[in-house]
Amino acid sequence: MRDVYIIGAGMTKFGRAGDWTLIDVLEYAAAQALKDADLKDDIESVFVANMGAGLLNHLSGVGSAMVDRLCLWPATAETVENGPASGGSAVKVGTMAVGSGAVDTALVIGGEVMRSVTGWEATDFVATLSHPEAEYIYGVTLPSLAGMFARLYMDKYGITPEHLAMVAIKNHQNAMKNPNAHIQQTVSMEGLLHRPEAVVNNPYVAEPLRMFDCCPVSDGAAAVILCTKEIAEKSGKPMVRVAGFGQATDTHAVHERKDPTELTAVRLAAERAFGMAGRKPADVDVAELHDAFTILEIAESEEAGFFDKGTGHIALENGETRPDGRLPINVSGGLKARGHPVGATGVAQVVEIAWQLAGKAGERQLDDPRVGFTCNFGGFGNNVLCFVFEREG
Amino acid sequence: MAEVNAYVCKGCGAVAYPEHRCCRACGKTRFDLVPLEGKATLLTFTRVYNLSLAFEERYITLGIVEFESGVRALGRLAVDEPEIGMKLSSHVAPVRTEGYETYEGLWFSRSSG
Repeated sequence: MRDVYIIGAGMTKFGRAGDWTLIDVLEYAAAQALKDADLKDDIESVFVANMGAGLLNHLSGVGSAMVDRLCLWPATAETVENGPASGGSAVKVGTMAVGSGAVDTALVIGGEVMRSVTGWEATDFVATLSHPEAEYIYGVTLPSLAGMFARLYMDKYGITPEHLAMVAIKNHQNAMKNPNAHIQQTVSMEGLLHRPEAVVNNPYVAEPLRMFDCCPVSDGAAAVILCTKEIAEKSGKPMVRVAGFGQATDTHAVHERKDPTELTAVRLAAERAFGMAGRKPADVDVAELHDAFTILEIAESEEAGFFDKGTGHIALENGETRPDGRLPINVSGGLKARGHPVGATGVAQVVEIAWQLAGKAGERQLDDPRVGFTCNFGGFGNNVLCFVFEREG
Repeated sequence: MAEVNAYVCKGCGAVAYPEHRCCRACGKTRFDLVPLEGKATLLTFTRVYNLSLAFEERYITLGIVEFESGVRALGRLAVDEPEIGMKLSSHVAPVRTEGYETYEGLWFSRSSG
């Protein structure tokens, strides 16, 4: 496969789209990425990641609609749907399109406008990705699957509600330096767990997970431009290469997994991404993990190989995953505070890493990171994509 | 009353739920359907408060159990104070109503024996 580079990245502020439609937010992110890449009409392929336009926005054929809105005819167009991992899938497909030699440039956009429906409807919409007969009919929601996972994980490894709160506190603090974050509000251990009003301000959603253990329902979009080495070199921009990607699936129904505390698809996807990149977890300088629930940041940090199984919460407690720690995780604020427009998330993770590696992350810029990692978690871990990115030169 | 069925492989006898085209143990594609019922052990659970509009309750309790056959399933818990490892018995009853449509599924309650 040919080497593939990122020469442009852009995103909207996550949160409420207000009067903006799904097409509007996708256009904004794409225009930012095209401007960043100094490209206009030389895009050959467009891949749009989206999970719910049909259900939430009464819209289909979003990929084709975006070519039209962006005046990119006759570029090829596809819509990529893979639940909350749609973004990662679209970046993978775009990488394969350029890497295979089929095209030299690809625009990958991910977006979702979820707040067009009520919170109950949005929760139900996301729950439709659970197993229809064995899970969904019972009232399963993604928080409920995360709640059952968290209870087992906490019981097995001695993780406390305070450890979960530490993830939220860190990521909310990180988001304070991200102008695109949905939630810019710091939170404290006292406020989340120990003050009497915590039961009201931070109620249970799916025990043992509370509201601040869960990501918000967000609108927004993100985009990247992928291209060949020749185009990237000619652009004179920082050379950020897609060094490796990996994907793996697992059983649809969570109860069928041999050990329900294992996120096997995360482990396999990460191993494959590191294998393709010729890198190992210890090489990574910055990571964006799929913290739709606080417990997932801890579990994914272990499955990806950054920490031994059962020790992710210790690394968190020791500050190793803070921006000034050994391995900064979710410097953007993560899904927890940057927000989680489901189709956008996998692309937004890549945007954050591309900015960090290119030295364009503004106030939250880390000190010269060279290798970045993303993990985009679909379903409840039944389809996961991981990427390794490298800055060259 | 409706049944919830497990799938017993005609090739090797492995039990699975829900349905798959082939047996995970031996790859064979023919099964006998047997009711998913009997005693079970609670593996994990959660009390869920953010429910879809199909549910009128303030919360519901969901759990994952392991039957004596080794097969696992998710269902509703009719237990006030669930504990991991507790023994349960199962029955089938309505679990969700949407409009005129009622869906039946697994309920678990504290085992008397």
